[in-house]
This record gives sequence, structure tokens and C-alpha cells, in this order.
Amino acid sequence: MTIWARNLDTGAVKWVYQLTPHDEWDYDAINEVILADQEIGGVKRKTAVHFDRNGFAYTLDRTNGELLVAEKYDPAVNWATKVDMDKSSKTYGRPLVVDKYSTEKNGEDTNTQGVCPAALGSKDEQPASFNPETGLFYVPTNHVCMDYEPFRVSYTAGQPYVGATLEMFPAGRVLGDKTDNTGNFIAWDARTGKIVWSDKEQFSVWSGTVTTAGGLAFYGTLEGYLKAVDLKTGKELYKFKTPSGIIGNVITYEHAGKQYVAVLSGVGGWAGIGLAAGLTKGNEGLGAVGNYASLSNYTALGGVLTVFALPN
Amino acid sequence: MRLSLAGALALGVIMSVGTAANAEAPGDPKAVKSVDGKYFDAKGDPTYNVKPDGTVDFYTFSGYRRYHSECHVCHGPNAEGSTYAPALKDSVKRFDYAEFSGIVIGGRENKQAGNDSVMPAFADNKNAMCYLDDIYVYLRARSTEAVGRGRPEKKEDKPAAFSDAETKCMSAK
Ligand code: HEC
Repeated sequence: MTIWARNLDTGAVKWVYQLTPHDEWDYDAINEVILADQEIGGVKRKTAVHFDRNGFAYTLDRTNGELLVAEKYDPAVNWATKVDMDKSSKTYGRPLVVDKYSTEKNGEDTNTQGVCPAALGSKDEQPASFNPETGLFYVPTNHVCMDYEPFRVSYTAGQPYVGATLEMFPAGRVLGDKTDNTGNFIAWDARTGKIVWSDKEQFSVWSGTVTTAGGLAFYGTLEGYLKAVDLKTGKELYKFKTPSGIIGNVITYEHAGKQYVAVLSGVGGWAGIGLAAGLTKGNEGLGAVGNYASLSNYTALGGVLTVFALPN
Repeated sequence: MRLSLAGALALGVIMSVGTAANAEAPGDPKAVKSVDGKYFDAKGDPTYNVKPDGTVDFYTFSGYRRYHSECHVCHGPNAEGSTYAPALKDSVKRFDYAEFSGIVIGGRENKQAGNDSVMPAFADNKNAMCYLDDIYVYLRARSTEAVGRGRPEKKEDKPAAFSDAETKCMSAK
């Protein structure tokens, strides 16, 4: 739940920032931290940008840990109203938790309903990318909420250790906006903390992304599409259906003077657990199954590297 | 206390290993009496109770939760089995409460042609031991489909006796 800055040579701690103090939702901060030099409020800053599981995107000054921006990168996020940015406040830098969604306040054996994001996070380990030309981040996101019921549990070494049942579902069920997509691919301005554009995806975007100097952002979908969209508008320019859902990272490279784009397909991970493990019921796979139940209508298991050569 | 009862039952296991064929059948799962929100069959073994409107007793609900946190990784969701371990919703039709408890407490190992099939011993895992009856009644409810797949939608309130036993068992050293 914490970002640590350490001296590379000595390992000594430079600064720490805790994202979700006293986590009650399984929002551990395993996501990547991206370094980018950006101008914020007229000042050139060496920043570190992090899209957390908890649904907030953080821009920090990486030289000293100063929190510059912390905003929701999925409008559905509801467990906290905001991150307190008031430096004179006692809760400075902390998320302001909404009681209704506090699984601890509601307590053991109470099903806390409609918490956004789900334990999957608004984004999980699939990495975002930064494009220095547009100055924007291109972020694969989940648009999923959950019911979360904690129960008593005691630790036994070497044994499964799960103290809650979860059910996950499209965020539209909480927002009441009649949408049922569980993902968005977004362009994010980390200087202001705002979504610049957002492309709906039926399923969570669970692939890593890459952008090119040619003005394209690439990502993969759980149904198995590799997509190329315009960096500035998000407009879809190309898609190709690979044999299986994509949870791998899109890469681009040059070989013998030619540029290639490549991606591994092969559905799995938390979002694809239902398909990968043959699960069928809502609460299974820590609640991921219900949410992605229809995935099996769109793709199959697999493991293929698909490589595209760009025209000369 | 349930933990020590469980310890006594472990003895039974050693003798019943490999004798599943002539194991004792469990008897009718119909609940004939209730003590503090916990239901028992005619033999006095714990069982489930589902009301006509689908409300399950709290122990069955608790068993659903514990099964899916302790057992389903091997035995598959909804007690329906996996390529790795048997469907416990069927197993509990073949042998009784004592044998069930014995296997869970003591574990079981089946070595065939280098293909090890291992049911771990749960004797020192409180998350299973303190809820052994709960898991058992959930499995019985699955065995007759009295409880369907997934989370039971309606449940009785948590009985005070449940909370007391839970606190005692989970905090025991
Ligand atoms: C690590 C995997 C694993 C876990 C976790 C596990 N089991 Fe098992 N279990 C097995 C295997 C494998 C067998 C089959 C052993 C054999 O071949 O004799 C088995 C067998 C059993 C049997 C005997 C079934 C029969 O038809 O003979 C029972 C009862 C049982 N398990 C109950 C449980 C319960 C209850 C839990 C949760 C508290 C649990 N198991 C958790 C792997 C597991």
C-alpha cells in the first residue's frame, strides 16, 4: 500500500508515501510507477506517476515525495471522496474514506455492497505507458465494483488464507447508468489529474500498453483483439483478433530496419480465471467469475505470439 | 470444544484409511431438531435446514464461505470436484460425518504409480477446524441440491451460540 523511494546505491529510504492506509478492500499497490518529466503549474518537475488499485492516480515529485496530484481515474470510484490535498490538514495526503463503504466499520459477516473499484483495482498489474509528445498517459483500466463480506480468519502457515467473500460486477450497476462494460482504455493527464478521452471496452483492459512516435497507442483486449488507436483522440484505427484473450504486454521493436509490433495472447490471470480454471459461478475466483462470465462466448484458452510488421 | 472433539476423531481416521468401500452411509440428512440455530438429523449428526423461501441456516451459509476459502482451490467450486480432487457433494453421500471429519483432520495420501494424490491434514488449521460442522452441512446441502451453486441468497441471523463457539475456538491456543 506504499510507494518507497530508496537510494539505488545504499538502499536507504528517501521517502515513502502510503496510498491506502489500513487497507480494507484488497487494494495493495502492486502497480508500476512510471517516471516522467512534466511541467506542473509552470514548474518543471521530475515526477513519478502511479495508477493505484484503489482507483486514484498519483503524481508525486520523485525527488522528495511531494504529492502533486491525486485524482480518480475512473469516475465510478466511491470508497473515498478524495485524497486530502490540504497541507495544513491532519489528514493531508490521506484518502477520505466513505463510512458506507468501509468494510471494517460495517464489520465481520456484513456484506458491504457496491464498493468501487473491486478488489481487482481500477487497474491491476497491467502497465500503462507515457507518451512524451502528447504528455499523456495511456492506461488500461477496469470498470468493476464489488460486494465484500469479511469473516473471521486465522493464519496457518502454508494454508490458503482468505477472510472475505467477494462478488464483482460492472460498475454500471452501482452508477445506475445502464452500462455494462467492465473496462475503459483512457488517456490521462497526470499534470491536472483529468481523463482526456476514454474508450469503452466490454471487458477490463488487462494488457500492457505501448505508444509510438507514429501517434499510435496499442493495447489488447480480453476477447483477443490487438487494437491501435489515435493518441490524441482515442479513435480506433486498426484491430486484429488474436487466437486468445490478451493479458500480455504489447511491445514494439526494430529488426533489420523494419518496425514490428508483437503481443502474447493467452487468457488467464484474475480476470480470465473463470475461463482458465473452468469456473462458472459469480463468487468464484474471488468474485471474478461472475463479472467475466460471458468471456467464454468471445475467446478460448491459448498461448500464441502474434507479430505484425509495419509497412516500409 | 470443537477442536478437542476433532482431535478425538482423528483416531478414527487411521483405521478408516482405504476402507471407503465399506464406510458407513450417512443416513437421511433431514433435520429433526434444532439447538440454538444448529440443525441435526435423526442420527444426531449436524445437517442443514432450508426454509421454503430459500433461507438457509447460518451454519450452512458459513460452510459455503469456509468451503470456498479452504477447500475449493482443490475440490472445485460448489463442491463439484476438479481434475485434482473429488466432488465432495458426492463424497458425503458415501460416508458419514465421523469419516468425513477424520479425513479432513488427518488428511489422506494416495500413491498410485508415482501419481501422488494428497489431501492435506487440516488438524492445525483453525479456519477449517473451527468450521468443520459448517463445511459438512454445506456439503450435505449440496449433495441433495437443497442449496444450489453459488452464495445462498438468504440466511438466518448469526446465532449467539455460533458467535460464542467461534470466538472460543478461533482464540484457543
Ligand atoms: C491441496 C488440495 C486440497 C485441499 C485444499 C483440500 N483437499 Fe480434500 N482432498 C484432496 C485430494 C487430492 C483428495 C483425494 C485424496 C485421495 O486420493 O485419497 C481429497 C479428498 C478429500 C476427502 C475424501 C473424499 C472422498 O470421496 O474420498 C474429503 C472428505 C476431503 N478431501 C475434504 C476436504 C475439505 C473439507 C477441505 C477444506 C477444509 C479439503 N478437503 C481441502 C485435496 C485437497
